[in-house]
Amino acid sequence: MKYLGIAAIGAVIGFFLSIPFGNMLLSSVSRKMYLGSDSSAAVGILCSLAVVLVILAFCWRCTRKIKKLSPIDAVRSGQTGERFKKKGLLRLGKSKLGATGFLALNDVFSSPKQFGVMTVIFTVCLLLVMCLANTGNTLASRKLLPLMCSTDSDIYITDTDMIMEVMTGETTVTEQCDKIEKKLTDNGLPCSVHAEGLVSPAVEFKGNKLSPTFLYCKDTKASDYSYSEGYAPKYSNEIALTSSVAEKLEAGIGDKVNITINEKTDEYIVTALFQSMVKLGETGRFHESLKIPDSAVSQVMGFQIDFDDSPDEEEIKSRISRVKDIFDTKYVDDTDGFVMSCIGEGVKDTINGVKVFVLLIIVIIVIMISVLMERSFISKEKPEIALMKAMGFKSRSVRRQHTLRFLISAAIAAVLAILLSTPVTRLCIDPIFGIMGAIDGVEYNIKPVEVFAVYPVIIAAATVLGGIPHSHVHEDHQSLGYFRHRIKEI
Amino acid sequence: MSNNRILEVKDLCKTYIINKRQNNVLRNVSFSIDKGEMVAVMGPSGSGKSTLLYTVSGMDKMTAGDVKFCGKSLSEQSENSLAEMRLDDMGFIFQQMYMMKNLSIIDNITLPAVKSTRKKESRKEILRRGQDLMHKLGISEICENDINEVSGGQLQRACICRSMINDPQMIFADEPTGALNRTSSDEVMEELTKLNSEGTTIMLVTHDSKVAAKCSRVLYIVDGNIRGSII
Repeated sequence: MKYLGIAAIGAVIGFFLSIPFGNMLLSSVSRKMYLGSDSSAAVGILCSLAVVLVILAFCWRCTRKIKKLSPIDAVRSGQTGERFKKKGLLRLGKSKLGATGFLALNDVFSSPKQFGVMTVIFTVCLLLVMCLANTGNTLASRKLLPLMCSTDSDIYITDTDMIMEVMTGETTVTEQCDKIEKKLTDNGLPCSVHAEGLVSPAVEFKGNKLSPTFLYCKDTKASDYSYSEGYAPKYSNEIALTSSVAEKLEAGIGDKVNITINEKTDEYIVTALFQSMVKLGETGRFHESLKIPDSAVSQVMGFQIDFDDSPDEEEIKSRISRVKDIFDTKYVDDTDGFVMSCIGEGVKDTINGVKVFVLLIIVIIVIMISVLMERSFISKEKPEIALMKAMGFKSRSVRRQHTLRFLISAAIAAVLAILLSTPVTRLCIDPIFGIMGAIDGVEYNIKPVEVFAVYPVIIAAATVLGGIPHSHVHEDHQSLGYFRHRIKEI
Repeated sequence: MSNNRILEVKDLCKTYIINKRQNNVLRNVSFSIDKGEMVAVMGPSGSGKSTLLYTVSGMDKMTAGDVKFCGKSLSEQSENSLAEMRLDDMGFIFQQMYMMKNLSIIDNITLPAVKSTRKKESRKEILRRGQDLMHKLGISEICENDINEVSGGQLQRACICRSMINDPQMIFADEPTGALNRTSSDEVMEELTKLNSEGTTIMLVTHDSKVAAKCSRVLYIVDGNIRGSII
């Protein structure tokens, strides 16, 4: 009943807090998309009920131990006279550790269940944060550039007005690129400019029809892009398709598909498959030698600028500000910024915001678990603490031993989380990238210092903070008084 | 205080507050113990025997009076220096045979020696001393055993070994045979008597007259006061 009450109160509080939090998350992505108005309250209530039921189920399971206790156990204080097998794994005589360190390590290895549960919880907490960090870092990194079906350039202009001029037919892709190139050259920044054009032809194969978006750029080579299968198109009648388009058309490498551009239908051989996050993976690529009229190009990804003098990263950053001034636009980025603009401006910020929020919650959870576990340990180990003090251990030695135990658990959790971080990230996040078009997964941008050092240190610090033994260990005579209270006389 | 005196107690008082009522457990207790003595403290239940033992050993704080151990006044010592005294100069034997449950018998015995910084010994040397003590008390065979794998008498002898590992000035024993059967009691008292004959000072609390009979002096305490001393 006690835990039912606690779980119910927690579920109610969590449910009501989830409403503003969910609205906050949705608001950052709903600016550019229309979302349905279906009520998520029912889902929230169901989830809250599920949490309560799970907690009760575990409580019920744990209370099974009560059945095993008999009245005589109270008389004998749990001593049945039975002998148990060896507990301690380490040997003080063979160890090089000091007394405190040895006792801490020995306690952890001697009670694997107790400390194992704590270690698993800390590992899961760390993995949660690491997954979010890896996802956020990847979403704003140039490692996703191949999935944007673009080559690596120094600068990208994604000004919507300039793109709209092409989309409305006011100017062609080629003219716009030439205009930008001339303007930059006149301003002392000689360069070459190209753009990935998007063409939406009708594709047909064995009665299967589709209208994917094809990418086309006459200023780059088809072999400049990455393919997961087959070889890059070499001739004008060769194309590459994404796996999802090939699947829908039921076509494969070597098949000839019919593509209609501006009412002219021709046969093209599929030579390669690739991954793309453009248009949720429904894309293809033409060879650069194919003559596609500018009128067929409906959109461009952005205008890519390659400076003639191959500047370094710092120089590129300063030129970005110059180019912004030249074109009076703020939509000028380096490769990382371009990838972010393709994914969505607010997505990375949202994920980072969620990451910080989750980290905060995890720190609170870790501290609370540590506090609860330490209180439980102190309560269970009162005779041992009193014995250590009677033997001559100082309060700080006992505190150090208890703190070290938590630190050891946190360190093991950190090592496990570091080892599992990449595979777990792939397991959890690859399906999400898959929905966006990256069916074969992505190359994650893992920042080692942040993921393998900062977060484990934060969790370890939270563990130590929560596990620092409480003041009644510090009070010498309160612990030693354990022996006094065990005496039948006063 | 003579050079031979190891413990000197003067006008010792100990009061507990229970349910807002003052309970004077020890009232102006005065006595002394010389080096090499084996002193028993006897008395009826509730007379303050164990309280006396824990107060004079520094385990419990005195309310008033003075206790000098090896010439040092306990009330003038900090918590850390009292802890050091317990580690290096005192040994304790309890009725309930408290041991660290995750350590083997030999590790329990040698733990105080590993913790102590007085002697600069290697682990091997400490281990050898522990094994020597166990051999002396006739429990070599349980060296690597877990504490749940031995009998009560063996465990209490292991506690005696632990109390001796740092060559203490004095051993304080609270009902060392209280939880043992007759045979084990006799074995344990035999060991304590042997240690005393080798020069270890022992103060023990007991209500067993057979145990008290083995001691050189018996202090009889009633209602918190020493009523008599039998040599």
